[in-house]
Amino acid sequence: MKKFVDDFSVLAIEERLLQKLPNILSPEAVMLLDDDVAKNIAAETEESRAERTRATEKLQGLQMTLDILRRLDHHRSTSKT
Amino acid sequence: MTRIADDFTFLSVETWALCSPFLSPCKFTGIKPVTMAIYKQLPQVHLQTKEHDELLNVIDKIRSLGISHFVDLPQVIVCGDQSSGKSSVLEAVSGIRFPVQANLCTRVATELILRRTTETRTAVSIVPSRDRSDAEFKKLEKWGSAVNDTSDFPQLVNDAMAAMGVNKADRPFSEDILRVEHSGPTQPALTLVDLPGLFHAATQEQSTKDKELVTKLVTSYMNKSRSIILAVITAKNDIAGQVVLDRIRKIDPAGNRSMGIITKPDTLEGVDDKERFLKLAENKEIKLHLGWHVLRNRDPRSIDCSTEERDRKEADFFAADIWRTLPLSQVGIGSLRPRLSQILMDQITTELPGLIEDVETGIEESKSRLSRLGESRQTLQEQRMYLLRISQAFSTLMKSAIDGLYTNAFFGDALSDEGYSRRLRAVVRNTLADFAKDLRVKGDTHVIRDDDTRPQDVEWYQVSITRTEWLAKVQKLMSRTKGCELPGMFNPQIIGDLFFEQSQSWQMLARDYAKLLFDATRTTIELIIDNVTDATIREGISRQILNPSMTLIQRDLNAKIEEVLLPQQRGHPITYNHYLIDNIQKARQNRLKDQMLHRVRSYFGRSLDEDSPGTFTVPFNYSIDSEALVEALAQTTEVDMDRFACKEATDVMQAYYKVGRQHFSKQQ
Repeated sequence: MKKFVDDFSVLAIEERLLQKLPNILSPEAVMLLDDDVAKNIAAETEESRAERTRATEKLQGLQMTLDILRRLDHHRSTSKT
Repeated sequence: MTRIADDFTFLSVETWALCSPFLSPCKFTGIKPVTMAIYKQLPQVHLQTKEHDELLNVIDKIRSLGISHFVDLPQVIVCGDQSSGKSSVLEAVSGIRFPVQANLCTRVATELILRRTTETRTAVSIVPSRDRSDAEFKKLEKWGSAVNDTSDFPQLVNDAMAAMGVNKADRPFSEDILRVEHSGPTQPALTLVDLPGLFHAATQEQSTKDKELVTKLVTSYMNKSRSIILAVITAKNDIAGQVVLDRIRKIDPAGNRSMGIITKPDTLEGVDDKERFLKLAENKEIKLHLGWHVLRNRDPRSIDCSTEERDRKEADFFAADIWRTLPLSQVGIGSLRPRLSQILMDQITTELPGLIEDVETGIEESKSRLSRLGESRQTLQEQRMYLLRISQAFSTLMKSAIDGLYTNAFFGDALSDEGYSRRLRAVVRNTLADFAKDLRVKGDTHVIRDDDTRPQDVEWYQVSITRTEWLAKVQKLMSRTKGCELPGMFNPQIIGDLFFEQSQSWQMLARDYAKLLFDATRTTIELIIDNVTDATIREGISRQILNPSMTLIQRDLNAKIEEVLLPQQRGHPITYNHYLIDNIQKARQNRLKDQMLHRVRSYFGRSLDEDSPGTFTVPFNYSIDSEALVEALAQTTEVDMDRFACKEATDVMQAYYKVGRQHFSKQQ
């Protein structure tokens, strides 16, 4: 029985299951994927792209605004006598 | 000539003479009456301070960046019912004439940006609505035109309206914004947003839908908490009936950020009516924090009357009748411009900190949204990069989980169920320990118990059997598999047969536990995937990469397990494990010991079932017949050779059972 348990644990579970797991989604596996498959999985949705564009524009606009406002605020507080 | 303040223009003595009746500062604007007199005499001169300009320019610059879409900017919005004289107010303030079409009022919101510069210039552009299509948006954004002669302005507006498609019947109102920048030497520094006129009932040209659209547009502007509402009321109509006041009651009931303008006071007849509107102007009727102002604008019939004439007529009007009780700071266009400028500037100053805060919040929010969206994944290269990154993260975490290195934050709290599931090595080890235990404790098909004991509880695949019954069974098996061995010996093959029968359940247990372990790995994999990627990708990865791989692994695993099980199912028992011999001898010895103990007791007259079978006391002077004792001990118990062989075979089988089968070549 002891041998059976060992065989089960080592030859089956360890070698045939556990050690195979890191490779199911490894860099090598990704490199081997077809272009179509890669695109299919990872391409972002139109929605996502649009949302990113909107968020980026908003961020840029607001950052410019913040610069302008901060300069103004600073200018006003330093020019007060 | 006298200087009054650094930024004031020099005045003539005659002007000073007119100032004498006015001694105390105006309670609304805080500006001294002398200044009022200046305004009254020279309506085209306006106060400018550098700071004022700067503030205003900053806000307008921000507005031009499209930021009003994200944060509320301080501004002055001009509302009123249709035909309330709103356009004349704007004309008077800005000095430019908007095209007035009879019965059709402004159809879009208009940003009116007034600035003081040396050159006169009027520019018209469009801020397209956000719900325009991309193509339309770009096209309208580009549209822009400018003139230096203000008389060409009306045509520009018509062109802009045409570009927006507003004068077509099917699109009478739009959320586009018309932007007019008018600068000249006589302009005040002021920005106003003029809104379409509100209306009560639908007319032929304007449907209920239009009414709703306008109400919605105006309400949305009024709701912005940083906007100052400039409500235009006409003295021609009843106060109560004016829709704009109703809106204010709902949106700014305390009147904290509202100011009123009364137009066409010259149409009032009868003392009662005049007094009612006077009371309104004195802020005694509808109390607005920013007060009221009264204007007498150009008579629409006298459309060619010049600006100077208009202003003179207005001044005359307010100098007469009950109107002269109103302070100058509250009547006429001259005092309105600086009043509005001051209000706007105060508003900007007050709101500036809050505005900065809102912008900062907006930035944080955009940043977090962008980080949530992750990097761009539009080109094939970007997509592969992304997958590569995920796969690296996945592999690393997977290896850690398998190797039992749980330092990564991913592994969380070991004591929680989920935290445990992430620690795959721990799960596997514990499960295998359970497997070994189950095999040991309930792997036997036949659970052999001593005679005279009751059957124990056993698993469904097990049988509880007494030793006697077992031996009988073995004997039967033996009698059918007799080979050439001498009596008392047994055919070695029987060991294998007994063993195979005894280890039947191993196959089932192995398969059950294999499934448990496989499921555990699936759980861990899913937890890792959740951690390294987001929901949109997860499905694709699972379907196209993980599931196929896991299916293959499962198939391979099961094949291997069957292979490992094979020795339990056929072939000869083989082992080179020296423990086998030890175990056999131990088993024999144990059997022998039991027998000895039994005989010793029976010799001394005690049964084996006593509570403390180890010791018993012998009475004093008890005599022991040593020969008899040895005789008793040396008795052979088993006369029946077959039974003897059965017992021996059982010992061997059980010993072998414990050890298992030794392969002399390593499996792949």
